Amino acid sequence: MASVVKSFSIEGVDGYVVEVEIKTILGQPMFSIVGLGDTAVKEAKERLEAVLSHKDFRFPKMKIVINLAPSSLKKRGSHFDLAMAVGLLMESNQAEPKHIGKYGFIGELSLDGRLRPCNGVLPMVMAAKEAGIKNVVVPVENLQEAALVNGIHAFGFSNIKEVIDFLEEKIPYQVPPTGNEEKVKHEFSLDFRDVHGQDAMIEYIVVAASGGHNMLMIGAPGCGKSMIAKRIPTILPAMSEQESLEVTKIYSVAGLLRKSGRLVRDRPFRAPHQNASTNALIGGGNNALPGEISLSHNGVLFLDEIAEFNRRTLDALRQPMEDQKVTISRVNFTNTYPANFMLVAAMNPCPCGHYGNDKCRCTDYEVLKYRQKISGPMLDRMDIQKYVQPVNFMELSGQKIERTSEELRQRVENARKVQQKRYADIPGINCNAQMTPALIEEYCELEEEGRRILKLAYDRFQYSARTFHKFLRVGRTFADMEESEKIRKKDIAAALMARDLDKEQSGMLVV
Amino acid sequence: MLYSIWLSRIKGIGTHTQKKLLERFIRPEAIYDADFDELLSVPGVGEAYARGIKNARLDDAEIILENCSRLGIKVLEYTNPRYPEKAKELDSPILLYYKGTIRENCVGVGIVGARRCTAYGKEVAREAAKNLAEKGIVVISGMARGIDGYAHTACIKAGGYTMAFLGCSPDICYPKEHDMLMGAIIENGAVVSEYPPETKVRAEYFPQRNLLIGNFSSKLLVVEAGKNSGALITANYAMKIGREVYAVPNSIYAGTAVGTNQLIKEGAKIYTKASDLTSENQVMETKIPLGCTPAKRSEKINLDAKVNLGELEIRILGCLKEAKTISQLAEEVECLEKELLETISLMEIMGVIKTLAGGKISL
Repeated sequence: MASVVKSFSIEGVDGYVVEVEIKTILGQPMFSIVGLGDTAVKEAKERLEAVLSHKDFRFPKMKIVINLAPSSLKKRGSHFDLAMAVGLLMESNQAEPKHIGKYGFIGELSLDGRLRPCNGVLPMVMAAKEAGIKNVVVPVENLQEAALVNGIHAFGFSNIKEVIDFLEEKIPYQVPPTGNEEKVKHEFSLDFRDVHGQDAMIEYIVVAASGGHNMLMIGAPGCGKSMIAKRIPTILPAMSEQESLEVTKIYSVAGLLRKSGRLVRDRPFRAPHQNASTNALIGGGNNALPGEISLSHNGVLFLDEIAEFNRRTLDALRQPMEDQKVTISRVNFTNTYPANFMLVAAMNPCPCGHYGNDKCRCTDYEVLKYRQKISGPMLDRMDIQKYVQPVNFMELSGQKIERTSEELRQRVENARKVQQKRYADIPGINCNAQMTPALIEEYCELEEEGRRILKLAYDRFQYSARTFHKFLRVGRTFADMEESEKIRKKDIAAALMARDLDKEQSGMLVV
Repeated sequence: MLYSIWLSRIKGIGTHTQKKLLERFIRPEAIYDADFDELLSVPGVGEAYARGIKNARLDDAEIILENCSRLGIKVLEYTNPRYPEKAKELDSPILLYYKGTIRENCVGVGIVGARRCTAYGKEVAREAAKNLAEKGIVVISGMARGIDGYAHTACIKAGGYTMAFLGCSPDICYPKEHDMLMGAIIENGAVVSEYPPETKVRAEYFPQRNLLIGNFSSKLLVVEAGKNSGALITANYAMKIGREVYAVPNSIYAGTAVGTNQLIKEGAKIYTKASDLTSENQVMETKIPLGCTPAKRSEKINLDAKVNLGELEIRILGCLKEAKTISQLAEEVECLEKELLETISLMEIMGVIKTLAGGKISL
């Protein structure tokens, strides 16, 4: 009978249990691993041979077959090493673990028998929990990460010998000393307190954060767009346990967690460079790994100088923004990653960047051409587009308004609560920005005066019909921030100020 | 038509000689069929010219004609009555390629100026072109960036007829961002060029194009022009052939005004109002000049003020002698920015104030 040891593999951000079956057969000494493993899996053979030639063990001179079941799913990674080694020792009667079925194993082996850390430990341990495996053996470096999952006993070891001794119950488990166990209080180094002036702008930022609206900031170089954008995560409500786990899983799979080994508690803020390829943004590579949009899941994706991005790259964002997830198909793997992010973009108003200033000599046609680098459907997904005005520090010295991120976050959280209540029964809708036309019809009731103003604005600025819904969505959020049932006149008036670019376009001298 | 193209393409024969040949033979076919001696009898045609003409083949012209029909380009021959007599000055080409429609009597008023123009220049060009369009006068320009583009645009927006003369063939759009504009000009006028299809832009083509603008303009308005600018070439040529040239006065320190001020010094007329360009042809102007003059605007404000301006609104208006950002405004009226949003939005919708390009607020 073959020995069976449990390990895990990952598909997308979710793990599943893999049974590592090891069989030694009398015959020509040889070694084969089956079960659709990649090169890293196949090379385990060499590592195992080296480790088991170690003074404590011997490598069986038999025909060895290892099967990774389910055999029809592709697997990658070096973390099967530990399970294979344990199984092989059992099969060759060098080890007699007591309750092997209750354990799962994750870990890469070095040639001298040490355990090396690997990626994706969190989703694998979560898979163990789901499958009812209570105990997981991991490399000591991954122990913190594995311990994030409640209801699982995680055991960290630094070499194979320790693992075997522990399994044979020769030596009781000793919690390895960890460096800095102290709970780091979650605190931001950035704060909106640092932003002087820009009150009106920040008001719209708060609205965007409250309603989950995507946002475009327009302004001359150096007027503070990036400074504001970097502080947006500080006013987003704290992530729930569930959200934290989702984010941590993605980071674990992407291999970005190894250093911290804690749950990601801060909302991600990703700012890819405008040179980023479509695959870097969406996800891809041989193994269909998550891209920036998944890494900013539950957080903010900030595209600085959005007009400099490749147009096709930007358009590739449209579908994930709609579905809040992205499916990446590659030759080897097809993975689906969550991608529910708030898009914040910044751009210059014109090629020279100083539009509206005397020194700008861009013609209206050039300005339009520049702005058309962002496709219409993309602009449509930005509910708020605001100018950021450069601040004159001299003028500001007298007046100082204290507004901390903490205060702003309180307002955002209140508005979110109102929305959560409203959309509790509607699947897939969490915030105002996601309202469908039918929902807008249902929830965006205007006061009579507000309706009149909207009509006036339409006649004046010749807005297109689809901006109508944007005004209502943003107006809804303004109303929610003050917990008003109806959208009032002041809400709609403020929402009308959220379309600087559209308004400007109506005043241009172009055909 | 084939022979016209053939004639215009003979190497070494300039427009002068071409015109002389046409005078003598009337039809281009006759020139092609003429024998050596007949050609020699034309004044100014020597043996070398005559040999050149006899040796010139039709292949080139055939290809051009084919390209024309493929690209939807039409040809205006010298003998066509739509080619205005007035535009046949000096070096005028015997053949024009165009897209759109060339109407009868298409000599109009030219508006030219800087590519990198200021808001002032833009406003002048817009007002002038709009006025011309409303009087049914053709607006002539060069579809370049800046003033040229604005002149065409304003004319089209006012429902007028406009002609653009290009430094490339009419199938190529330069500058690129004018593709929409070019389409609109073709709908509401014509894009014209003396260059056969698939001729790309080259710097040396532009002076030639400038002459065409001069030829087709009975009057020429130079809005803004730097030193040595193309607009100056047009203006000097227009003066040379006796057209009225108007220059827009501007600050002597402005870089975009060096050329126009120079023109004024050299005797160009000073342009001060849109009707300058139309008054002579028309009976006395009775209409107020177009566009929002300051007087008109303040009138409008007072009107609204009577209706429903509150105390805050009046204070805001008081601060807006010059354009301000919302934070500057908030500071002056001593109010929080976010509390100002609603008021400003409403005032804008009422048309009391407006947001300028770049997001500043002004009257």
